[in-house]
Amino acid sequence: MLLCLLSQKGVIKVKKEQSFVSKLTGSRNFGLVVVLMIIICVAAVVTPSIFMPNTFIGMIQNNAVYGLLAIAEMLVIITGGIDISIGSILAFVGVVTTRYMSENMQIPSFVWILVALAVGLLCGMLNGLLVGYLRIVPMIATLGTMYIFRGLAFLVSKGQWWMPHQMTESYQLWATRKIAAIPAIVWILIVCFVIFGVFLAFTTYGRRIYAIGTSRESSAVAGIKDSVVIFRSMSLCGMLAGLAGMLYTANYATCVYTIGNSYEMTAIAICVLGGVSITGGRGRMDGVVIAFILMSFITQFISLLPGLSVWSNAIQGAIIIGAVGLNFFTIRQAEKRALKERSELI
Amino acid sequence: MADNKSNARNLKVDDGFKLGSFLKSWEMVLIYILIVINLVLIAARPDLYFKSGTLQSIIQSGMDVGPLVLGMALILMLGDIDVSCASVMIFASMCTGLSIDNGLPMGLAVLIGLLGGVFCGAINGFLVAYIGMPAVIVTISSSMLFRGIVEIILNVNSLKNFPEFYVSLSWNNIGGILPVSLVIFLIMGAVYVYILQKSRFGRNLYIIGNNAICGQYSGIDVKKTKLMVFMLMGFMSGVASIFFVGRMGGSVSSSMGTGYEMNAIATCVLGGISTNGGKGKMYGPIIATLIMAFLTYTLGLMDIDANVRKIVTGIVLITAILISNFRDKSDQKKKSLVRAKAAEAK
Repeated sequence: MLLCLLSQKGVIKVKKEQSFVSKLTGSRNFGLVVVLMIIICVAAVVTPSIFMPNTFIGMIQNNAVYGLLAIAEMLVIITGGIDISIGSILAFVGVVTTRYMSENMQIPSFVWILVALAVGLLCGMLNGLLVGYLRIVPMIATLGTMYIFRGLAFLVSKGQWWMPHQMTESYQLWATRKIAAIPAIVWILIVCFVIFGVFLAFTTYGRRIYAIGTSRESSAVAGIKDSVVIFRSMSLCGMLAGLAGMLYTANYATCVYTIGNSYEMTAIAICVLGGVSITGGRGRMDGVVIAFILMSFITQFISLLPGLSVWSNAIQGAIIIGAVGLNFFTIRQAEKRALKERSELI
Repeated sequence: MADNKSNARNLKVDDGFKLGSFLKSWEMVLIYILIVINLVLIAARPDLYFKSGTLQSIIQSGMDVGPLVLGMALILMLGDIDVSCASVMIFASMCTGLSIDNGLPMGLAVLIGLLGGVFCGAINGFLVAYIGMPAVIVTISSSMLFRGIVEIILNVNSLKNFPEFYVSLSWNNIGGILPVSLVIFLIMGAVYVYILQKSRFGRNLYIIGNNAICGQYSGIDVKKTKLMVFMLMGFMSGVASIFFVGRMGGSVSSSMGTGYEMNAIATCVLGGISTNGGKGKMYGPIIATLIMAFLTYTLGLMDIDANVRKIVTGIVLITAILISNFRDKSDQKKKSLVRAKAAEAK
């Protein structure tokens, strides 16, 4: 017993003796920040205009929808699942709110936010029902609902386009109103980052999501109802995707049923880049925020360079493979080192 | 002694039930579904159904996904997934097209296309097997990468020079009755049935899909097998490019073929292959490919819009999974009942 305590103390001491530098390099976000720094340096040389405050805010505004979807996807990925229907939910909700808003312009615009949240929640609940209670593999269940929601989006829109003049100004202001020089959509994104960051890190329910993702069986033994937790987190995911759909149409002031095609892939990419483990149970909001900014930087940077817009897909793909590969490599090295330290202690 | 006898009798009883369980197996259910769809089609449009050429064109319309389905089945068997196969398909057709544009002989150009596919598959396989990254992430980002490369090289142009037999493969019938593409698909299907059900390699896949660590300890080179399967997938994407380009009338551009990967996965799952790995047979996906072809064509004949068809596809997919899940559960219950009875008898 005493020996055990001693050795434990020894471990703690070893940890305390770590220098600031090794702590920094040991952090999961270290690689990410380095990549971000490199890209910022390159951008500073090639396209200095990226650092104008307006450009920067515009960049975040253009990518805010991805940020919301990344939070949504994160909630599901941490449970060990995946949701590839969020792009379709975005389109469906966007079409629903835009259509009924343009038909009933007298209704105050905050109603549409509530409608978007409610419809998104319903879509998410369907996913949650299929995955949580009926126990279909998440990838396949959401593949099916992805088809369904996209088709529903077409049915509701009847293939119609909506243009800015069909939208009420108060509806658009939900995304574009400037509060302290920052558009509302960015404020909403920041609020969501904070709320869900706190929610995941500090609330009982948030910790349960991690527990489910780490091991479904052992958390069931510990008294956590896995179906309920998965149902709730997929519902929340749908709700956020719905919010993103409404804000997308408000931000760009156009809407058609094909919007948001393959946005889920970008959202997943942001999550994984931000250190959320695709197998579940790991990942923090700060990593996702950094990854989101990194991703926005990359897209903005590419679009500012003349003649490079066709390169965007290839560059994004290469960067994700590189970053995730590096991440896995460092995790493995860390595990090896930990194993070595343990064996030395023994 | 008595125990031995009763055991032997039990086995015999199981053998006696074989026909009944065969008729109730998932593959037979798929055949029933195929027959039902055909009956619906006959009832709805008898004049069209018996007109010469209709059946052939239905079957031909579904054959370009066929090779992807065969390759995907093996990947799903491992418990992995490949969402990059459509991009690889476009990449492979670009390789062929560019080689012909540069004056290489036809046979060599086709070979280069196939090798291009294998190369892409090898990249995926290396990252999944040897670096240990999750297949979802690898293939999402590599699909961006491969399509990005095609976008960079082709920009907005399309390639129009392809071997003439591409088009005739996808559109001609042997003796005016038997579609060439169906014959080739069935031959490839037979090879794959042999690989998965009979060969040592295929049986290894089942073990890896059920428990990779167990496979490793029983002497299977898991990494090498995974790499092989991904290379096979790349090769099949190359083969699919032949049919795809033929269906498109001998031209290819960078934006073509999106969503094929999801169709292939959906077909495999409908064919009874579990995305968790290690479950399912090769016959299922082959029949399911035909079902998908008939389903889309029937819905098209009923003047249902392509986007609404997506809803039906989604619902069919989810129902199929629900049914097979339900069957698995009742099977398990039956088995445990039998076991309990055997234990009581002892």
